[in-house]
Amino acid sequence: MLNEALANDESITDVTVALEERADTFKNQIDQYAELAQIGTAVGIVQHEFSSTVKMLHGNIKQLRGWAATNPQLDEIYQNIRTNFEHFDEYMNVFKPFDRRLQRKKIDIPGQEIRYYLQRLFEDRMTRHNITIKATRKFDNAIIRTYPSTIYPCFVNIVDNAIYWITKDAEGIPRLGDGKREIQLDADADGLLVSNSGPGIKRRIADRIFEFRYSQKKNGRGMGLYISREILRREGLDIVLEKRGENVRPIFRIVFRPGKQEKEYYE
Amino acid sequence: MSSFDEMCKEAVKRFIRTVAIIDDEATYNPSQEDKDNARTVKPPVTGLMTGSKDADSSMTKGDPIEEGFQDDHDDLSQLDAKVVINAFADIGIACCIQRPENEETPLDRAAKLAATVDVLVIDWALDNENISLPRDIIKKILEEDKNTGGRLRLIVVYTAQSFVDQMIKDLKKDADGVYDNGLDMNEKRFFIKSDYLRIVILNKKSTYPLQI
Repeated sequence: MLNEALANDESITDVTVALEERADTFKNQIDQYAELAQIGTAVGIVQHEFSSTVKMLHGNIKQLRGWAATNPQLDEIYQNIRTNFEHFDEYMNVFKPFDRRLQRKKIDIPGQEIRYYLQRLFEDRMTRHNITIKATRKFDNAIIRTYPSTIYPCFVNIVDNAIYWITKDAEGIPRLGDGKREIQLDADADGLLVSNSGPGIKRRIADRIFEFRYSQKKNGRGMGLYISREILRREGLDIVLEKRGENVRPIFRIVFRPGKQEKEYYE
Repeated sequence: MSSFDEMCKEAVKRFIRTVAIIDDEATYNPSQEDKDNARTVKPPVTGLMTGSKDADSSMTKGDPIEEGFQDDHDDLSQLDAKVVINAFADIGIACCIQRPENEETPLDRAAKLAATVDVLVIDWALDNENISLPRDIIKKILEEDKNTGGRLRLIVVYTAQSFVDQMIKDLKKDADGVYDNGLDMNEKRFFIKSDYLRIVILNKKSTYPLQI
């Protein structure tokens, strides 16, 4: 780099400043990764403890079955515990595509499967807030070739954010009004699109929403969009805010790889 | 089985004379090698991506976690036409199998076929290039039934995907569009019904468990 700069008649001072800036960027990035690694470790420990507890609970509930069969009053309680536990266990399983270890090869993921996944994951929350997910046929038929652990967390993050902003403001105060509450999934030849009926994203913050630790939400961590973009970029994909502006319906785009390694969507 | 159940079964047997199956992976008398593969392949330990095709063969061998995904379930997805046709023939039902393959008018052909049969069985994963094809076929059949004044209709969708709860909602939405919300849906047993229509989704034996 130094030789190149000197060959281009750039001064040593300019080159030093440029190198220092680069070093600062790398240092910041290392700090961010260290913070993420710390969170990841914590999640790993919690997951391990959680798995053991779930196994134990499963065994205990099984033991109860024999008693419940001969005691109608206990049976009612047993059935309730079992149903709730199964629902909970099933719900936790929905997060498994997030685990990179489970899928180390790229697969063709149809839009329809992503929609089904999101609908199942957010079903209770969306019903509670009267929000619907609508997908065009183009989205259902679009196919993205990547790892499930890359694309699913990204969609979950965008939809989770969308639900938040449709239902609450930055302070966490519920929004009132009977306007249409929906999240729309669409696709074109360049990527997958997610829009929502929540407020627009102001132009002045539009570029910052992907920054590490930047959040408009009170108590927000500001990591979701940053991590999503990092993971997507690592796979040659990207995420951009396609439509910005205070009174504009926000649209995020998951950008396909240049050269369209994904299959064309079906018209 | 109670005598009432037996009577119902007898009535159904008297009614059903013809069955059509639409499956892009139907084969007549698959080779012994295919059969052996089908027998040895085990469902993956994890598997949300049931309908997804492997897109990268360069994967690590020998990793127990990875191996869960190595199973190429194409063999499991195959439908042995001979076995199915014979099984139906043994109970006095004529069965035909249609295998759509890059056709220009899969919708029209399926609708024409459905017009003449008592039961239509259709695979949910018919065409990777057109994921919505089974939905479109079913909707078209319902529309044609409605246009001709309605008829007794049983449609069976079968799938190796685990998202049956979401599929039945999609089908209900489509059917509501045709019958103006006049249908009931059972979300636990995955069927839709009216006085003369029933659509049911069944999971294949090789279905991946909900655990991914």
